[in-house]
Amino acid sequence: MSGIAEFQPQNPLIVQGDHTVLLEVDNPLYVEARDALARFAELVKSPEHVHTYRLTPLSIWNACAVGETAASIVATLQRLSKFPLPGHVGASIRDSAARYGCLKLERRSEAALLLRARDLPLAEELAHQKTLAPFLTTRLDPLEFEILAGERGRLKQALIKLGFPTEDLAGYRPGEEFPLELRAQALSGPAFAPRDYQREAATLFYAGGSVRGGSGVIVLPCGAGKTIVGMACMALVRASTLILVTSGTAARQWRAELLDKTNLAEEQVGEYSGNSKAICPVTIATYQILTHRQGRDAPFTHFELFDRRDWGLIIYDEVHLLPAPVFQITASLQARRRLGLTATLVREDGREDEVFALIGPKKYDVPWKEMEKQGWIATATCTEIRLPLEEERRMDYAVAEARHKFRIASENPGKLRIVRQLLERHRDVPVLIIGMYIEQVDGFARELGLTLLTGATSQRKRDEVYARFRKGEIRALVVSKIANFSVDLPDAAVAIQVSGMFGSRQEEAQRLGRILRPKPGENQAHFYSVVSRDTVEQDFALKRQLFLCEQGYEYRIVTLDRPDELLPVDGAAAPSETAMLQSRVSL
Amino acid sequence: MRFFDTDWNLILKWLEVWEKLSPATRQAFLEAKSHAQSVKPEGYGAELGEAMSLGLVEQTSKGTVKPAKASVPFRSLMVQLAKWPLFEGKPDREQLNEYLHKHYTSDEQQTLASWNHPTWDSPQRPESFLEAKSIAAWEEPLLSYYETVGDRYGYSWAVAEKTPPKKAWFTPPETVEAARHLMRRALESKRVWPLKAMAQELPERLRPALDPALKACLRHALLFAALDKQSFELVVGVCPFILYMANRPAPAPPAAEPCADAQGVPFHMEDMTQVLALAASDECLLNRTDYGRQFFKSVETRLQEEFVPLPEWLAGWMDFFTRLRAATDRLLRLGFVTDTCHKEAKRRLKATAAGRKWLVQSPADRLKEILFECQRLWKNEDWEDEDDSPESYFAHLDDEDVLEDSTDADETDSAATSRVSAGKTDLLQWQKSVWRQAPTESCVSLDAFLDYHARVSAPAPGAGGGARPRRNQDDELAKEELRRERLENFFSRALLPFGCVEATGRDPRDLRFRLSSAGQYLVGLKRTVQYGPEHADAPVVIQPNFEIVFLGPDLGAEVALASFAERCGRNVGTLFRLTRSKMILAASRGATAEGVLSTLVKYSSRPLPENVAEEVKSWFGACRSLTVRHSTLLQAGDPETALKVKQLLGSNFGQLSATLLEWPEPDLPSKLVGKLREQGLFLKEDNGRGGEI
Repeated sequence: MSGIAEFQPQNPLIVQGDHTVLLEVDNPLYVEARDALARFAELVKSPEHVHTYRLTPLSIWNACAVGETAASIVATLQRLSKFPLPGHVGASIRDSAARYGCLKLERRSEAALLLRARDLPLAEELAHQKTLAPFLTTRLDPLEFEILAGERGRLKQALIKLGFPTEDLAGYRPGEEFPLELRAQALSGPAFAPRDYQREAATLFYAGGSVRGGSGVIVLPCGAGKTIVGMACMALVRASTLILVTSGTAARQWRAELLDKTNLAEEQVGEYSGNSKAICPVTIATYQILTHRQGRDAPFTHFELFDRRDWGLIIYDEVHLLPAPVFQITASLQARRRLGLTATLVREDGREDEVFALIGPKKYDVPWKEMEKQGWIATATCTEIRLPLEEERRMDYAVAEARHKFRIASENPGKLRIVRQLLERHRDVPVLIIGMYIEQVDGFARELGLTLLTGATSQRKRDEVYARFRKGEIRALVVSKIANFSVDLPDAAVAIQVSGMFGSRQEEAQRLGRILRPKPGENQAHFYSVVSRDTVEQDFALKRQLFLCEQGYEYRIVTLDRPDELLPVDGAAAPSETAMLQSRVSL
Repeated sequence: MRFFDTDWNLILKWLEVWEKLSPATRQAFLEAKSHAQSVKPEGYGAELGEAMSLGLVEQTSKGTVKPAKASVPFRSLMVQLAKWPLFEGKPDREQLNEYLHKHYTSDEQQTLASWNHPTWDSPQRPESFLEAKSIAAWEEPLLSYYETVGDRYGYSWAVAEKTPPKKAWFTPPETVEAARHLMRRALESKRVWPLKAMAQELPERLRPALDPALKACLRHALLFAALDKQSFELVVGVCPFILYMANRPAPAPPAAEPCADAQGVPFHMEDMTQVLALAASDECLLNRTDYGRQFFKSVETRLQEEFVPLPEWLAGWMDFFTRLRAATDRLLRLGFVTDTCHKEAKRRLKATAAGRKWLVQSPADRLKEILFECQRLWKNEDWEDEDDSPESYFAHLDDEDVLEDSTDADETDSAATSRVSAGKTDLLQWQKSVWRQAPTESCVSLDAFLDYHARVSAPAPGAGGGARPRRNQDDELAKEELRRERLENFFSRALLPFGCVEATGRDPRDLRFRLSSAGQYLVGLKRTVQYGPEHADAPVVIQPNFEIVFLGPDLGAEVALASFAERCGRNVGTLFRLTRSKMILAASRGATAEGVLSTLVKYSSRPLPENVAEEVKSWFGACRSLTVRHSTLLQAGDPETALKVKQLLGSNFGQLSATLLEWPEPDLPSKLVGKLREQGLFLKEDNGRGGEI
């Protein structure tokens, strides 16, 4: 009858009826349970004490692809759960697992593939699905359909939407052979070797060259070295590679890393962007150039890049930013190995499923806090400082239209005083000040006497400033949202966010990522977010805060009561906020 | 014609034919759906020829076989008797009642069960017949105004229409003597007799009286006739109950056997807990217009998901709505909830302080307390609805019997009530004394347990079970049946719902059970109850992302947190989320940041995240209270008039603008209105109607 009498408090899992699985971090069996869940569940969020995973058909299918069975999954959950498994969860695991392998996609010829169903009822069901009709034009026998090779991706997408995973055994084009070796010593001097988790991620992706590998997404926190993972995959694939990145700066960073850490020569790495159109065995292109066209209805002329060489591997950097048109072209690239790299597979448009369908399933994912514990990324403290609006601004805010309130709150002049205090507190470490509004960041730069970088800053100037920042010649920078992505600043230890973008979780994570690269010494980073109290900015800040909490970061809040109030100071240089905050939070 | 009015001499003649045939042939003869239906001859086998030669059957032109015309009356009787296997195994009271219902009119049935005679199913009945000094006097109460044929009218009709006088059946004396001979034989032998053999038992001189004697004995239910299921022999005997009681073996304690899969859960208590938890968090909404207690559909759906599932055999008895009603009624009766239908705009069940106190205990303590409370109810409460109490029937009879038996004319009502209560207590003790004998490790068959203890466990003296348990049914079997019924009711209404037994089986008739820990506590074998997890350290975790996760069940925490947190789950897992909107709602009901934070700290097994504490304080800090004040505004047409009004009415008026004045009360005093009117200043309501004040 009831499971009440079957409560096993010593176990770490709770399986809920909605297929989420809660994992108690403070439990002695945490590590065992985490490793078990990683095989068949998706990590959704990992706040401090209880992590949340989700059992999805896709996660079950991925588990089946590497040999798990429904029975083993259910047995693992039962063994580690505090309560009996809800009956329907076991049934749905079995149902999902049963669907794996019932459809196989194989190579028939250069231009055609074979879709084979396990049994006749399934074949008939597929034949009668309207959404599949455009693909299943030729039925070879009761169980087999011929598919055009170019429809491979869209077919898989459509089948996943119907709940049928397809075992894609059609293989990949090997591409133009292009061996690449990682250096044991970087050109810049230090010894170099991929870290264990980077090697593991690359191995999982490549899967020994079998058809079971070769396509997927690797999710690692900012600063964890996703570029290294990309290079390690290139070394395994040993074929010409097209790397798609978010900006020219990012392209140059990739180029620099490739030349520094691999045996590639300069003429073997080309940049395809607004400034240059070099196509080399390793070519780095920006999303912008790919999706550029003369007019709204004009074709994407640069898509031809995909056919200009026999690419053996396509890498999508920051894959969560994949523009919609690139989705379309990716659907026709299914014969090529595809690797997605990102820190945050959260898209505000909710198209994560398409990423999985067209690029590949998530192959590797490590919680940020785990990486922090192991020292691969810096330990970060996140603090939100709330200060009230000044009197005269409060009335402006109160009477403003809703769409203007956010800006008024964001551009609170009182923030300057706080930033000045924080700069003083962290005078010995490199600092980034990040804002959304050009007038605001411009004002900060002027008042604080700091260098400002915006979208209007020329590429050459940006590179020069970044170089000086890296060397320590510039201690603090004021940047607009261009700094969100792919700015390689390994020594930034403090980020101060003075305005953000309407609660974008992705933006919050990316900004934090600017300071997460490991640092010498304490390996400590600080992230501050300064918001106007009791305004919509505070409300939106909560949403962004949630994301970081769900990654496991402790988010502290300092609330100032008056517009002119200063941050509390305990007298120590660069103090930890903890003791101060504990005394403020009186219960 | 009713079967007891058959010509029994004719039947006996046919029985001579009947005894020459095998059971298979007899069965074939009776199988056809009607006398006119012909059947294939194969059923008669080799005996077809004999059956035809004996005149039992005849062959049709098509080669099929049908009953011979002469044998139809015989067949008719045998077919009728075949429908009533009265002597097969333990008599079924329902079947026998049905038998009476079929063969006797309602008036006759009433006389058979009348107060003035031993009832038809009691051993006293044949004894009274045998011992009666005057058979006419014995028979008189049993007579009705019916003829043998066409008896359609009842007593009242007969009286009104002065129908023919009653017909006695035990006349002449030879009939009585023959009847008594048959009865004596039947009683002494304690078995059924083939009719032919019984007839042969009669002395020769009484043989002619056999037919009327049988008619009378059958009519007055002194003898019963049936067909043996195996041999298709026509048998007669005294009431099946008398025979059963005379022949049944001695009671044997039921055999216990191991059973690994017996389960039990106090589902009634868990149901109460779920309803009370909802009530405690103000979520138990009721349909305001319903006279009874109709829950909102959303509430019912939620409870249906939360109620513990029952095994199949039990789920058929206890559907969700029955359980919900039982749980709600019990909560109301115990004073754990109140129905606020007359007090608030939204009707709901609200938890009382006693209910909340009960709710926050560990499952074992809750169960223990509820068992204690229910015993008190079973002892003392006057039931409006008999079905609510397994003891109610006894209790009511206690009232009658005890009060009737009282010889103390000066006994006060309260003393009488005390005696009645004492009677009720004895019955509960009796139940406990019986169930105390149930096994605790292995299982026994419920049927066998009930049968045995119904026979051997008479209630304590002074309890209702010793008195006549049912109207005019004072035979031992009836008493046993009533005791069994009471034990069964106690099992199904007290032990099972409160998890006092663990049971296994495919259906209710096939149960095996044993006493659980709660059952042992109830009957006094144990002083504690083991149930559910211990009330361990608070298994509640408050996460920095504002989620509240329950790593184990904790109803007290659930109830406390539900008042200010948004629910997103039930029982365990992620149950709540702290949201601004819910906090503001709590603030509107008087909650404070300090109160909320102290509750969070109290129930959280980890330090409260600082960002959560700050955010909670911030949400409360953003709340503001506004004072509403009703006042009267006077709009003058021009500043001069406004000034005039102000001068007339003094300093209590506030001036909001050159022409707008405010009187700080909802209404203007009539004196002031009068003053203005005197000066030609008229006030008009600005409500579209323009009426003058």
